[in-house]
Amino acid sequence: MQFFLAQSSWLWLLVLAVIPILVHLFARSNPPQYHFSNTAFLHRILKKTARVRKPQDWLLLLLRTLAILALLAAFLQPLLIKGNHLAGSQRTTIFLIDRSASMSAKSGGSDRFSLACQKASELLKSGRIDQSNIVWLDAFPDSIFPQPGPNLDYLRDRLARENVRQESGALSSALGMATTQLELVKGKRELVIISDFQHSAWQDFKLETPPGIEITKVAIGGEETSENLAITSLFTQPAEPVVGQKLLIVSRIKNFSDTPRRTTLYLESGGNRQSREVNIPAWGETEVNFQTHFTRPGLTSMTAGIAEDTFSGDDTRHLVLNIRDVLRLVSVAPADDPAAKTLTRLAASLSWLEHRITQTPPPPHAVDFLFFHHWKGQDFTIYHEHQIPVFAHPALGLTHEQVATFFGLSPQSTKPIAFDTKPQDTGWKASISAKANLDSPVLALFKSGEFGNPAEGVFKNRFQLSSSWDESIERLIDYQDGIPALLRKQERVLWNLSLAPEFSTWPGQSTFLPFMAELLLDTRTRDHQRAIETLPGSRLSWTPTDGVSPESLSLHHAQAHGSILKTETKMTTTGIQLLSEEDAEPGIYHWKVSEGIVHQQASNFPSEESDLRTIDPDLIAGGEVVDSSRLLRRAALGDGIPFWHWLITAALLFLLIEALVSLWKPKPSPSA
Amino acid sequence: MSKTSYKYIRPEDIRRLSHYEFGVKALVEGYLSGRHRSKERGASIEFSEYRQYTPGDDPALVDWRVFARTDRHYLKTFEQETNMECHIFLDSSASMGFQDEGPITKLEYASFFAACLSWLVVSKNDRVSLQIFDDKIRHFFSPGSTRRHLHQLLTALENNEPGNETSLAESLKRAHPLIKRKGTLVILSDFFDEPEEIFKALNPYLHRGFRVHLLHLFDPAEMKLPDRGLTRFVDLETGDQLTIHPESLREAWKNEMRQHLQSLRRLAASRQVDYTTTLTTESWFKLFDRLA
Repeated sequence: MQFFLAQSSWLWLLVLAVIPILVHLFARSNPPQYHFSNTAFLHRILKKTARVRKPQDWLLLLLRTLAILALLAAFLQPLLIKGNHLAGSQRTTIFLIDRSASMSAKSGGSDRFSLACQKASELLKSGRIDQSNIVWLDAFPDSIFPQPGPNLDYLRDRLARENVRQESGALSSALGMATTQLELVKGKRELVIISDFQHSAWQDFKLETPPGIEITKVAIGGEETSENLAITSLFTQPAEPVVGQKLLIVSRIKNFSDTPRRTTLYLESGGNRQSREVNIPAWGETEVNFQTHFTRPGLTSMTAGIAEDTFSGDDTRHLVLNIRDVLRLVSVAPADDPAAKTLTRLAASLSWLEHRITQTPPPPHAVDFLFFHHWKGQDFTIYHEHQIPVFAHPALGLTHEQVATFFGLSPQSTKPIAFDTKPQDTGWKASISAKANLDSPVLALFKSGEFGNPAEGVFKNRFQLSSSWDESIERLIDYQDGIPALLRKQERVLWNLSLAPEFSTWPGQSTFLPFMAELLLDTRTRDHQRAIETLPGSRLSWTPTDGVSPESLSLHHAQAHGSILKTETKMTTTGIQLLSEEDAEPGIYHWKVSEGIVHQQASNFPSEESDLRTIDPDLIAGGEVVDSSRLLRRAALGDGIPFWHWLITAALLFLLIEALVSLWKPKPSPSA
Repeated sequence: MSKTSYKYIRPEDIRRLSHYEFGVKALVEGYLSGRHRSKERGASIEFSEYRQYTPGDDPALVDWRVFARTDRHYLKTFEQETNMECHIFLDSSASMGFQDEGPITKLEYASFFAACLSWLVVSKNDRVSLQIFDDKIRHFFSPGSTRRHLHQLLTALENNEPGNETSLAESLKRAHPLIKRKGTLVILSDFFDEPEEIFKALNPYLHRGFRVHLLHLFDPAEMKLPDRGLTRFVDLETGDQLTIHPESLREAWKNEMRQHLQSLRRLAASRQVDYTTTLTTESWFKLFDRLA
């Protein structure tokens, strides 16, 4: 049996109970004076009645204090909760508590997450829950217990110790985990979602749970200002430049407020610091570019930052950049393939390009460009996932359908693509496609014609590709009769230009080398997602390269005074992998051998969490919206007995007794 | 007398006093024959009583006719009419300066009455004395019946202020040798003194045949305690302080006052002393009815 206060926010009212005591103490200390003719009789009377009057005074004080206490307590709407069990049913409640980055926004004196934990703790304390569990809504949702348990004190203890994470929230995963656990229990099942209901995360989300699970949404925050200025992205073009290559560092700042803002963006890179004043329109985004180049290969880190605001997690952003000495072009072809050998000669002419011929497709991490000669429809999904440019030169028998699949288009004819050849002295000529975008970087050099035709020469064979292509396909080079010679979609390039010397004079032309260099670099330039970045909330991992002993490695947080993070080793097919025991938080991390940095990694604030606007939980389909105080009241009302009216009765009774006691005049003791 | 108006006696009072007679029933001892009865043998022919002869009595007063009938010696006594002496004792202690619900202080009330009484006595060619006392006799005016004497008394009353603590018993003791002839003793006080002590001090006077009137004065607030909240009561005489809630002690106070009055009344009755209580809200003329 326990008490519960439905209006606990009015608890301070109990302080007023000291009023009668203060009145009793202070009123006697300085009452008004009255000059009277004789006090000797009064002294005599007091002496006679003292035995009764003093206890009477204290009794009156006690009764008045009790009356006021009872009245004040009635305002708090106390409820008496009889035990934890409802007749015949067990109540299981799972709290889905949002601890994503937006929950670190300040709401009043504390952050949203603290408020959420406080509410959950109050609900756990309400005494109507038989067993419970907490599922954390973050990048990788997990729960405190594997399944709901009765140890509510432990849950409350964990709630008091948990901190918000600088991560995004995986809503579906967290909801799935919670509902799965609830489905395994019997009795009354309830899912309480305590979140700020961030607009960007919840606007398109639908709460779909199995029948029999009661969903309650408790919104936290939203009253405070959602104004925020955030660096939403920091990347370079290209993502992995080679030594000496001109590099564009791009930083985007977004203004999540109704008023235009002005701030200074600074960029720290390799010990240099640059800054730039930036104006960001209301609800707009501004892109700030810095140009630089690096003279030495290896990993380098950079940090972009703006002045700290109330939501500071997204005011800095980090990037670890791999400055490459060479880029690896891998040809998948027979060892003596003449076209592949043409690329070998090309690589020999470009200092930053390294070419290798292999008959089996290489793993993605071992290649920067993949040139697949004699492509018979093999799957390139793994390379697409790693955004590795793939140049596919069809083999005989390749169907139109396979080409369409290559570009991710809807299937077309399953017929093989026709292959044309020309007699010895004749051939097809190709040039920049009439449908090409001449402003494309790959063609920029040639659009004036000063540098000639990038596909100069004669081609003696080709595939009879369809002349009409989807708008999403970029046409770079076409044969003079309109047959596409080079088609590109992002990092996928369909190659219809023969590279073998016996079928093409193009590799011998002066424009071949610059065009190929521009094509390779531009196709790669599109890739800006391949930065060495670890998602916040996941564990930092690295498989040491040859020559680095895992035992000698230590992991350091570059910002947090170089603090060392504990690691553990794991055997994988690629070797020994080192994993941090803690989850990554935004910042730069150094893997060190002694004092030397051998590898760097960065983790960044999830940009989707920067928009602090919330959504009305009513607009989210499913469940009932209840504010926490109402939920507490309902919880107590459901299982408890309100007794405020008893307190009012008690107060009136105390006042009645007080009146009777004060009216009662003791008879003076005759002996006195 | 150069002064024609006095604070404590007003023209309307004088008009009203002309209808009053003082000391009709009083037996006085004085030199003016004819007006008041006296137990002293004198020129009067008003028979009083027979009294058995005791050694030392004048043999000429023996009634021989009675001796002839009864063979015993009896004296035939006659009442002698003479002028009256009125001795006013005015309590001027600090407690007499109390005023709450009444229109004037008790001392002012007593002064009004004393002034009127003095005028009445002097106007009938009787003699009046005044003792103003608190814990001692502050002023003593020996008996007199002249206008000048009356002027002195009225002026003294005007200049009188509440003083120290009350000690009626002590004052009575000290005044006793000063009063040569028996007469009427009028004591105006609030009697915040032990009744036994008061009457112990009155015994010599009673022994000498004084007629004593005790006029007990009250402010209405003293009868029931004032209607106030928690209050610090400061004693006007001693400065003693006491914090009480009057409401909580009202009944006990009334009870205490009742006992005090009963005690005074009982002792007065046992000694044939006239005892009267009056409130300062009442007219002091009603007191003359008690004295008549």
